[in-house]
Amino acid sequence: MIRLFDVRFAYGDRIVFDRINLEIRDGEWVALVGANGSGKSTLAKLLNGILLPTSGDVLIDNLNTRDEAALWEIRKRVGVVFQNPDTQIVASVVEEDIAFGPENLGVPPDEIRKRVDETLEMLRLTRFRSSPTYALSGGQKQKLAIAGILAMKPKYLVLDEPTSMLDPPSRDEINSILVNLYKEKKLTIVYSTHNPDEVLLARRVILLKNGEIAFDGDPVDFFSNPELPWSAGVKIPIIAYIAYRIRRRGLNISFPIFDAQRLADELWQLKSKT
Amino acid sequence: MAIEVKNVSFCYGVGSPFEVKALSEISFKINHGENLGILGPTGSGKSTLVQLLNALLVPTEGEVLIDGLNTKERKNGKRIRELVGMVFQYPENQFFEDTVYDEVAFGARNLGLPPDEVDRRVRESIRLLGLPEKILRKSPFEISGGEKRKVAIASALVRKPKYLIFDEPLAGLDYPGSKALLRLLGSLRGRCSLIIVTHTLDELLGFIDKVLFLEEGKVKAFGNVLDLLDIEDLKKYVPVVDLLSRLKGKGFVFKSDLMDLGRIEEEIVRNVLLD
Repeated sequence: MIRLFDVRFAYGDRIVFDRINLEIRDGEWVALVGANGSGKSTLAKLLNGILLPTSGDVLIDNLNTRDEAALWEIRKRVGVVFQNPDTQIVASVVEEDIAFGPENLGVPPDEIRKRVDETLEMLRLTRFRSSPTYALSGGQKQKLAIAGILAMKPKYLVLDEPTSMLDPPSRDEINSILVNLYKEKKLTIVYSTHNPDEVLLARRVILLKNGEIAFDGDPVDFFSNPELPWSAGVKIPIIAYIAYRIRRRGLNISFPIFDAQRLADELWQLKSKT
Repeated sequence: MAIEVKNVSFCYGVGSPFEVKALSEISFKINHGENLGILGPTGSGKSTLVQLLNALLVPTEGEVLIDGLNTKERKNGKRIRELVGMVFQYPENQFFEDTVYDEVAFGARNLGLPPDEVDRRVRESIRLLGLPEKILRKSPFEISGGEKRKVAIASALVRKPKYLIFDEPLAGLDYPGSKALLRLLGSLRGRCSLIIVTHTLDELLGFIDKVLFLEEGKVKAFGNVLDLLDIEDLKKYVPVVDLLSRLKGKGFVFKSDLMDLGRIEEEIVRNVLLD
């Protein structure tokens, strides 16, 4: 379990979190949302001790990120994937890049080989195993970054806007891989994003606003009152946005609605009635 | 006054073992004042096309004319780059000057303009983007993400291009950031033609007069959004196109030319309420 107790964090004078309390249970998929500068990346970095709270504590399975002796174990358990794949790749050949993490953890060579094969397969990168990393596309590079983290067998996977630099087909592919991993490997996922459709992948949304948690709950509830996400600088899914506007014009359609097909069906039924 | 692309093909590494055909027999025309959206999957030739439009690349076959100037003729290069501006993806990653002022002034100075004209243009571009004058003294590395994006655009506008190319202008911006940028793009109408490479067509629908959809180096479709409702890839990745396409299949009739979200709402309501 991940727990934050009265966490305050400031970069110099700039306070990012005033006093945050949060519990993330094993097996949850949590979406982290908020405007630019709301602290999503800061929170991601607090979770594996890249940053330490100004005051308060971050506990990973009861290991405190302040405890230097525990940091090694914490980083083993919490894998973080960042936005830009180019800054996360260290080796010049795909399989060597994946091996880098487990090597550093002192995993025996046989086991490393097994993990590399496994993660290549999971991320659908097997045919690129001997490719130079520079020759990969942006989407492939981001998959490699995720593979490199998974090879360390983390219990918690923290993804900080992992698809924001990718085109829609790559984005969809990565998300479908993550959904499968989540189901099969019983990972716990913390996923920060600006894309409202990606929020819907989660069972729980945490909204950061003005240094506080302004919402913590179900994604459908989160979007059913659009004023709340809007007030915090967060978009709602485009189909929900259109449905919201049409509803305000007096047409009786259900809300929230995220799916083009369902909205089209409801509109057609309304049209047939009039 | 227009950009004309006539039967253009482009190969990388012609004659080498690595020869790759990136574009084949592309033709289209954009009049000055019109805005174009360029879409297509990774590897469809979008970046190649964009580089052909400001003479960073010249066609292997066919020709690109910018207001009648052929990009193949070397002597036109300078004038063409004045006419066609370019804002790359994540342009703020390319900042290198010490102050916002110098960052914005760089492009104008490169045109060989006298200092007072450079100064006038820098201040004008900054004002156009709704940035405060005091930002000019700051370092471009210490301002917020949204401000960085605007400064990058200001440094393209300072050259007064007639055509301005954007590669994914909304990438990585939050809701207020993208709203502000969309407002800005809207305000450029009349000043210059926008050519926008994008995956997020939904949000840009209001500005785009025509859409060019590329697939495997060929023009799969060119026209108004309403002409593109049958393209599978667009339906899959652009929810609004998916919605409009489904509604059209159910007998809804859309007549608007420019489909921004407001007009789409109008059209849907009209269709439901009327027969």
